Amino acid sequence: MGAVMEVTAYRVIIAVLIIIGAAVLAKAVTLNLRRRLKERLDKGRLTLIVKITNYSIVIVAVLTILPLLGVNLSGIALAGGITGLVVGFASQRIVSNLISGVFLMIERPIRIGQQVNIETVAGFVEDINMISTVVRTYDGLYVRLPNEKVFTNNITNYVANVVRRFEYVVGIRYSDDADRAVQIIKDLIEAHPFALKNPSPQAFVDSLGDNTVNIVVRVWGPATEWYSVKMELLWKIKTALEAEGIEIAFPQRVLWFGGPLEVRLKGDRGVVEHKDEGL
Amino acid sequence: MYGTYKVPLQLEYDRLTLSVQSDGKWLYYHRKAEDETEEKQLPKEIDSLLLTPVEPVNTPKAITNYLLIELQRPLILNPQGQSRVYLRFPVEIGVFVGRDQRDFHCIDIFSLSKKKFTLYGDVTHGVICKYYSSDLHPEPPQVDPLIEGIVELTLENTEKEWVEVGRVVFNAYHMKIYYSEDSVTMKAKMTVKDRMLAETEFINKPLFKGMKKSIELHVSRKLPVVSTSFVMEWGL
Repeated sequence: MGAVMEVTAYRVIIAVLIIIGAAVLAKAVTLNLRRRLKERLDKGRLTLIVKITNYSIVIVAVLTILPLLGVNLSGIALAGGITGLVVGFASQRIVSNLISGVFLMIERPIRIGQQVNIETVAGFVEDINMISTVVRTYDGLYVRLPNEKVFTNNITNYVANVVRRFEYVVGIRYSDDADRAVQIIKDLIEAHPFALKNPSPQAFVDSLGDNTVNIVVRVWGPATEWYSVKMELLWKIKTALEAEGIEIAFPQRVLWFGGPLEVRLKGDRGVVEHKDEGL
Repeated sequence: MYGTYKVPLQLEYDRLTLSVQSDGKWLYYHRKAEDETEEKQLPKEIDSLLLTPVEPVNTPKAITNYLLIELQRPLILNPQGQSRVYLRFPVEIGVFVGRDQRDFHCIDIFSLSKKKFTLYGDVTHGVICKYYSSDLHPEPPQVDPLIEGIVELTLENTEKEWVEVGRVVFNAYHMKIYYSEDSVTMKAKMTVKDRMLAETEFINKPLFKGMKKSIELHVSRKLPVVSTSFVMEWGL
């Protein structure tokens, strides 16, 4: 083992200055990186590069000041194996989260700003740190998920692909013209800018239900716009169909009576009886 | 209609009204194109307004940099052959304001042409494109310059096989749009590499003499430009 340096006030001051210098340098470099690469890279990649740069500067600074504070680096290297084992057992979860975080950054199933569903948490990815991922739910809640949980759970990324499909089932009455209804729906889809031309939309009679003729409508939209398209189109379909006299059917029952119907009306002038022989 | 105007002003066309009014302290911009209205309050120092066509990928929302023109009748190219055709494309109009007829800043973009988007390529790797459908014209067609422009497309087949071209995809970066009172034009080239692959790029020249060059919005926004051409790798 090498000789341990004597810790003096001068060396402590130097160490503090190095740390302050490193912090200032890290801030300046990361700010500069953000400014220069903001337009060229997506937010996720930029954050990753900035974090790696920041941590690298801090690690180099810490390794530089350790000998000044009397810590022998060669001693640490030798003791590293045993220390690693002890620390590893003591902080299994943290290490697991850290490794999951590294794999998340390499595999990149989610990126900052994307809409995802992890386990039961759905919302926007706000940040991916070394040991946790932050999600802002659709109702504005802050949810911190350990990276191990993110990595080992099913992830649904709603915007990983550039387009996404949604579907409606529109039930019309049996007395309505289904061909006309399909044409009205197709015209509405054609008129909407974000209802994509390709993959082509579909509108067809899918099934004959108990009370309704069911028209299935399938539309593709850009992943960033599909929800607004979905919200707008359904009401437009409903109002356009009604404007053409085609109504969304209600559940109904036709009742057949085995015998004649008798109606008894009781008023001031006594009882009036009516018998329907038609049934 | 295109060109520079002194403010205040009032313009009225078929489906468009545009005005800048002054109350002495502020300027008030108002634009109505079809059912869509835009209003803005401007500083009184502004003295000029420029109307110019811009890259047609901004309305109703700038979600892509690509324009796909589908040919209503696919074009067959003979082996190592060349062809020159004219297509129609949707026009988007940029409203710029400035001082002393310079230092223009874009305050509004609108369009009177049909707005539609499509996917070029597959669901996983494709790109969203602004969509337009056009006939093939042997000569520049007569169009309303407020609604449609003309792109002169030179197609070159470098293959030793016949190829069929059914669509053209352009990258909006470095789109070279020229305009005059009665037309909006571009010149572009499409090099067909094989049956599934082609490259499109723009030629920085006006189609007719005396045309003015539009402001390139995408370049002026200082967005990164990786490539000015577009490689059509998911079919023609």
